[in-house]
Amino acid sequence: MGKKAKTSRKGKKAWRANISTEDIQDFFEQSTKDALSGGSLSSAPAESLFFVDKSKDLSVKRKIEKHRQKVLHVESMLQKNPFVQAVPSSTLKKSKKTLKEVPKPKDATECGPQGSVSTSGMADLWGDKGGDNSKTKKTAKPSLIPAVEVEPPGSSFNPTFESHQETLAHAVAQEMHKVYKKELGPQPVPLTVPGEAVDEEEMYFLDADEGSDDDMNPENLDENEDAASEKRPLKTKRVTTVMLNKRARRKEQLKKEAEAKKAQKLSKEIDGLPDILQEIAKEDDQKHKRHIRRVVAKKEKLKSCPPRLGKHKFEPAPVQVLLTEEITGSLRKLKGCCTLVKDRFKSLEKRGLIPPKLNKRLMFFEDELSLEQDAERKIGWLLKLIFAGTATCIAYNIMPYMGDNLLQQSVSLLTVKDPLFKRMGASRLAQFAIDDERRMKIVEMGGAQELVNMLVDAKDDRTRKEALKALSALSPSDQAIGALHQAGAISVIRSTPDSLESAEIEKYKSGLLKRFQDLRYDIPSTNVSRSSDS
Amino acid sequence: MVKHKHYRPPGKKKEGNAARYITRSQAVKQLQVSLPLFRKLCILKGVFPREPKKKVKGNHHTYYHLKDVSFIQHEPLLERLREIRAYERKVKKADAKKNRDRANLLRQRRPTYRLDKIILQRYPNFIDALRDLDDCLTMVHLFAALPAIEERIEVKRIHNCRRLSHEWQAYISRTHKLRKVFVSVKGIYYQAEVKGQKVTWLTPHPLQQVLTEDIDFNIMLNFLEFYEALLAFVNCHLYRSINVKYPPILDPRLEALAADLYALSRYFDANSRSAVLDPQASSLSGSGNVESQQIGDSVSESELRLAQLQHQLPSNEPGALMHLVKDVAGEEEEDDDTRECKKLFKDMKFFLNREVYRESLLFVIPAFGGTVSWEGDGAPFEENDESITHQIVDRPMHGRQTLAREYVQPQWVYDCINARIILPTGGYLAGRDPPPHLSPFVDNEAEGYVPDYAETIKQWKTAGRSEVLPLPGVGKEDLEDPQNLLAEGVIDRAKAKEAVEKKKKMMALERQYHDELNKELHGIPHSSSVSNIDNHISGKETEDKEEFDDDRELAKLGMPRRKRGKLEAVEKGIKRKKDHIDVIRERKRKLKESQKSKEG
Repeated sequence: MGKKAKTSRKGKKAWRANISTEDIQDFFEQSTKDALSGGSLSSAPAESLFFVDKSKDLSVKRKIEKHRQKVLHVESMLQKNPFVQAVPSSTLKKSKKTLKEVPKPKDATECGPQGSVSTSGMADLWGDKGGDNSKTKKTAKPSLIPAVEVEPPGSSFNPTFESHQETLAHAVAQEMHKVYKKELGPQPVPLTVPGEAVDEEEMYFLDADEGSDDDMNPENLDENEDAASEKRPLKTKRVTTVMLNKRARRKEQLKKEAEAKKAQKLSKEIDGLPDILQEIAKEDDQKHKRHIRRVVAKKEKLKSCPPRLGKHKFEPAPVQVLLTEEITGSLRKLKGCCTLVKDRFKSLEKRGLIPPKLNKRLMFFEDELSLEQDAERKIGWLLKLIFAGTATCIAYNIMPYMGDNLLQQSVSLLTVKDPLFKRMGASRLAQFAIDDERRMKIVEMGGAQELVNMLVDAKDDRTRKEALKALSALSPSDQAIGALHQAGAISVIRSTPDSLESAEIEKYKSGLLKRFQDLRYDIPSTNVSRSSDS
Repeated sequence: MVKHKHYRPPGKKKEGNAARYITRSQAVKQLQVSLPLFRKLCILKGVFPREPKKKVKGNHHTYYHLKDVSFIQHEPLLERLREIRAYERKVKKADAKKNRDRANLLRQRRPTYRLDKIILQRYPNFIDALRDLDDCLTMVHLFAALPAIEERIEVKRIHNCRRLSHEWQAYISRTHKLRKVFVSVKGIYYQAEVKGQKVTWLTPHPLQQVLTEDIDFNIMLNFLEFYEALLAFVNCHLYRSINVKYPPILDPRLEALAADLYALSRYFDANSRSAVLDPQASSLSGSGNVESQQIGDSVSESELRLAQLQHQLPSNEPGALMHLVKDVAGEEEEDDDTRECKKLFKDMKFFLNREVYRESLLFVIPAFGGTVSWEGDGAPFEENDESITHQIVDRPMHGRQTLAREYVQPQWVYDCINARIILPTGGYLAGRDPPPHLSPFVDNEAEGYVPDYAETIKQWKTAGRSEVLPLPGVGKEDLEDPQNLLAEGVIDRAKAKEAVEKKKKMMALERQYHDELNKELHGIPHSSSVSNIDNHISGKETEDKEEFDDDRELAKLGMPRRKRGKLEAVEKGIKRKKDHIDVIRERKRKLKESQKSKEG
């Protein structure tokens, strides 16, 4: 440990005299000033010292606006000075002349409102010239549909019962059509496919298998090729002249035979010429008929909806009809339609004046089913069933070539589990089975078997009744009866219990059984089987 | 070399559908306008998309006929609209440069366009315009009832629509052209017959209309724009035709009270009266008007004053309106229908209660010659007027009834109009469930099914005329109608019958001959059985009745194929109708039974 180093005292002592005391003096001065003015400023709280000047403050938006309001100097220079008179145009005379022409001799009865369109100057357009007028382009009406379609009488605010039911049925049929479409249409492709999760190990194996296959294939191919190339020389034998001759002879013979056959066929065809002609005529006739049917159907369609004008199909607006409980007979309490704007818009679309737009309502299923639900509540299933049946029947009559589809639908309805749909299908079949051809068609589509099955499975009288009704509608056709017999209808019909409520079941039953008797099918089924065995 | 079907040398023009139709975007490009402008032009010019047989560009395009597009291209309005667009840009620019004076100046002088040329082009005759008026009227009436919405529907347009619709109604009402009214769920259908043309239009119920999102309002407004102009011109023509000055000047007081229709009828009153009393003065005033155009404001003020003076005309005296009706009638020869309609509510005075739909009844009742008043300011007479014969009420009444008048529901008025007789008020008294409101637009005879109430009305009608009631089942003639089609067949029928007879005889003879031949072959001795033939034939006579039906079939066979097809179609249609009626009858019967069972 050494001593502390000595520092020179000389300098420091000398410096002390030179140390400035200004800050101390300043402080004293300040403090005396403060004392005189009353309290130091630095110790005072900020609030007492400062305030926010709000007198000239503007919101940011307004500030920007204000900035924008500023007219550029360049612009201001160009602006018109009110004190400077405009230099008259050198082409004054000309402009005056045109000005004179512009204001039209206005009618005494000028009308006031000036919109974007001026309807002013109400001169009578058709006034002066009575009959004579310039020939103008004759434009065909774009559509057969009237601009204002009067609603059916059932849409009256206070309708008669019958017409109301009628219109209601139409509305329900429309809704049901949608439902059927949804139910019977093809199922959409599912977004996810159900399946079992594959283990990782198995996955490995899967990959390995595929890999091995891939690896193997080229080798296999190579081997095969090798084998083939080895065998080839062995396979080829020498063709002798004898063989060649033989072959040539055979070829010739075959040719001759073919020619003979051809000639024979031709002669046969010539013989059958009338038949062929008949066939062709028949085909032509059918074609012609189909063409006519299509034309008629197209025309019919044009009466109810526009042609396809754009991307989207036209969708008719629902029928406006009051529900039974909404009919009050009072105009004051009427629950009227309040979407008339939409109605007009739809009318424009329907007449083909504008291409239809995508129906937004379809995207969100808002109140699509509202009417249907109401109707369901109100008129009950059975009524609905009948109405839907009649509606589709009408459709069948109008568009016969579409009928097969409907028939197929009806038959497929029978296979649905729900008795309601079964009834619906049966009633529709009963409506369709008007002539033997259609009855046979139904039988061909397996309708008879399904009906019998339905009768077996039926748990309530209504279902049974509908089934029996459909069966009896089929019964006039002999072939259909035969098919029914094969389906084992007799025993099923016999075993159907009579019901207390509806006498119709009995009626149908007896009618059917009589029909079977007439055609000698009414032998006990065991006998039939025996006879068929022997 | 086989020429490809669709091969076209590079220089050659297209042909067929590819050349005749172009898609919308092509059309827009060709016209050099924006899409909204194109749409507007299409609507104004009456050019609509078409469906070509072969859609060259695909099914998802909208096609226009090339000629239609060039039709638009040559429209002067197109140029005008372009100018307007340029002008709008000027306004925008002035705004952007903060040149407020200029912007204001430009705004005031905005160019407008007129549709009169287009209307005249589309409807060269007045009748053409009337034929196409249905949609126009419906749209204008609808917009008159819509709420004004910022940025979508201006108040001004709604007022204009309201004015136009009232003008139309006033004309119809004044000239008694209204024929049918049908109150449906959607709204109220009216049908008028103007110059032999049936004009049908639909007005909304007095309810708040809902504006859904899926409606393109620009399209609607474009249509409305055209329709407004059209209706204004139609109204103008119609007003001139009955010697009334067209843009009517209305009493502002009544207008403010939303009684425009009444104000209009007063205007008619004053106008036609002055015209009838001294036509010279009116013509003078007309020339005065021309002069006064320069004076401007002061004239319009004086006209307003005039309108107010109209109000002081003695309208409270009964039949003041009738006078006028006579005057108007003198000028125009009327058909029977109009005369009948005019007399329906003659000498009847109606008073509308607060709760009934005033606008409709104010239009309908005067149209059939009645006098009408309502509760509120500006009404022509008060509720306690002694001479009121009917008071229209739509709520249950408690006490305070006057014996001198009948309290009926509004439906009575409409039903009377449709039936063209004064129906007994019994069923329609206040508070009761009225009989059904039948649609006058259904032709019951053609339909084949007549509702009960229609039957009753018919009876009342005939009773009123004291005529013999035709037997029910009038519709039968209609069912027999297809036989008319057989007219040609009928001529041949006798001949055909004879031929059939002959043929039958021949057949019988032939058969006998064959039989005899057979017998001879079998060695059975010949026996004369000629007498049998006659028996045979006589036996067949009994079947003749059925043959008569077959007669028709035979006539059918004789017809050319097309006619036969037609006939079959008619028969099928009738059968369908018949089935349909049967369904209705059946339903009704079931209903009755169910009701009976309920009662029992």
